[in-house]
Amino acid sequence: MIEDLQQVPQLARGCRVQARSEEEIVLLVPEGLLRLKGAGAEILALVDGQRTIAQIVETLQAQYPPEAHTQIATEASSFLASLHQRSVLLFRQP
Amino acid sequence: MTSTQQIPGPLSLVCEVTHRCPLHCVYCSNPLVMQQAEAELPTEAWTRVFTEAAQLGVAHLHLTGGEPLARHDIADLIRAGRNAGLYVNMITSAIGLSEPRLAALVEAGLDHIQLSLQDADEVLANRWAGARTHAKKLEMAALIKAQPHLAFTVNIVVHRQNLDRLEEMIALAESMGPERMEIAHVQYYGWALKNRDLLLPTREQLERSTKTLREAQERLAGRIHLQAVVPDYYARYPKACVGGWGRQLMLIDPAGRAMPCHSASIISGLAFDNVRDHDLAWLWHESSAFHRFRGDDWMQEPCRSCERKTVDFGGCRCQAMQVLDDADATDPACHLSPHHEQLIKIAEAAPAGTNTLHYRTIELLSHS
Ligand code: SF4
Ligand code: SF4
Repeated sequence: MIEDLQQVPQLARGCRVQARSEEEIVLLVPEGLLRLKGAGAEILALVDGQRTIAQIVETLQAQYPPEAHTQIATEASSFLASLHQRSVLLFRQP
Repeated sequence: MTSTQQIPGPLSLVCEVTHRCPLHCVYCSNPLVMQQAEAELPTEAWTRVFTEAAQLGVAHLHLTGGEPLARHDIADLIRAGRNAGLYVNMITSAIGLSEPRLAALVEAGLDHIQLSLQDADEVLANRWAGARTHAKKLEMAALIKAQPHLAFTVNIVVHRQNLDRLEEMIALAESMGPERMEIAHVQYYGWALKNRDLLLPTREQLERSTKTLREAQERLAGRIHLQAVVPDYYARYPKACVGGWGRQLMLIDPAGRAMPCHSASIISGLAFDNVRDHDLAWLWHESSAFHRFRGDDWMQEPCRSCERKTVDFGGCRCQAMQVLDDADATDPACHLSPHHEQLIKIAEAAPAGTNTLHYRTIELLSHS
């Protein structure tokens, strides 16, 4: 899990999002491709090297009813953490 | 799976754009008989191949060799791959790289560069590479590190003669500034097989190195992704054959032959069709070499009735061929193979010492 939500995620060098077809959005990384399902693409679209993790979560939450907020926070940060673990996302201090 | 009509296309296309290489690595995995420069596919043929690959669903293009930089048109090939919509990776020794050339490759659209490291010690590194390349490599790494958009992986190639210096090698690789590190054991095909007895690590070495790896993984987490592959001689199960024979990967050799695996030519009786005569979709779906070990119809026991057959696909066909002279056999690296002991014996009988390394030399044959 992510401890510091004030960190700013950014895609690492050589990692880019590509639409392989209308339904299939993938994240191309050096060792392969990660298929982005629904929320995955939404979350990555918010990763711009400016927003902090907390801001990304809040932006997402604002689009859904309050009862989904806890779940969104958990899912989004575990998604970001897993990409961070693979060195696909780098975290830096703002 | 007998019908291959509906199978999805490959995800990766590995292009050995040349077999020419300034190095003479003791563990080179290129076939013993290499393709001559004159037989190499020209730029336009590769360009067509990349376009067809993208149509077939390929996402990643891996430019390798030999040394891909030995081709003067390497920047054009990168551009053609990128224009086709592929993710372009290049595996290089960095020999033949310079600041302007690197800039040209990046400008052409190179996404990822992989540099291999032979040792932490300059003299030894040059020895394993059979050439004086270490210092040059570090110089080039500094230029790559400074590139803002190019992904960078350092591959550390380990074997009995350098495994005890793993910690130093990881530290050196770290200083080169990659996002990824890959620790790979030498695979014993091609030239490496000739040197197998000298390169196979001992069991104690492996145990020690596993500990070093764990520590490094923890230390580097979040900064550098460290991936390590255990040599299968000491594993319980074999490694999955690159996602299964004819399932995810297609390789094109310098002369245009389409192969399911980089060492498939050691398997007797396989015939390879050529991109000069066929398009990639035909090669993938129709070429007999791709059918040979696709699915599980070819399997013998114990694989045939084993539940792991969809996980490891019976292991490596080339290893079954090389060790058992039977390409259909269960990979002897699997502990369920009736011949597993034979492999362990080879591994444990290997003497230490470096007196008789066979360096890869150019042994050209007119192309087949
Ligand atoms: S047959 Fe062996 S060498 Fe060939 S791709 Fe499969 S695992 Fe690799
Ligand atoms: S018996 Fe065959 S399928 Fe089963 S684990 Fe061994 S190699 Fe894999």
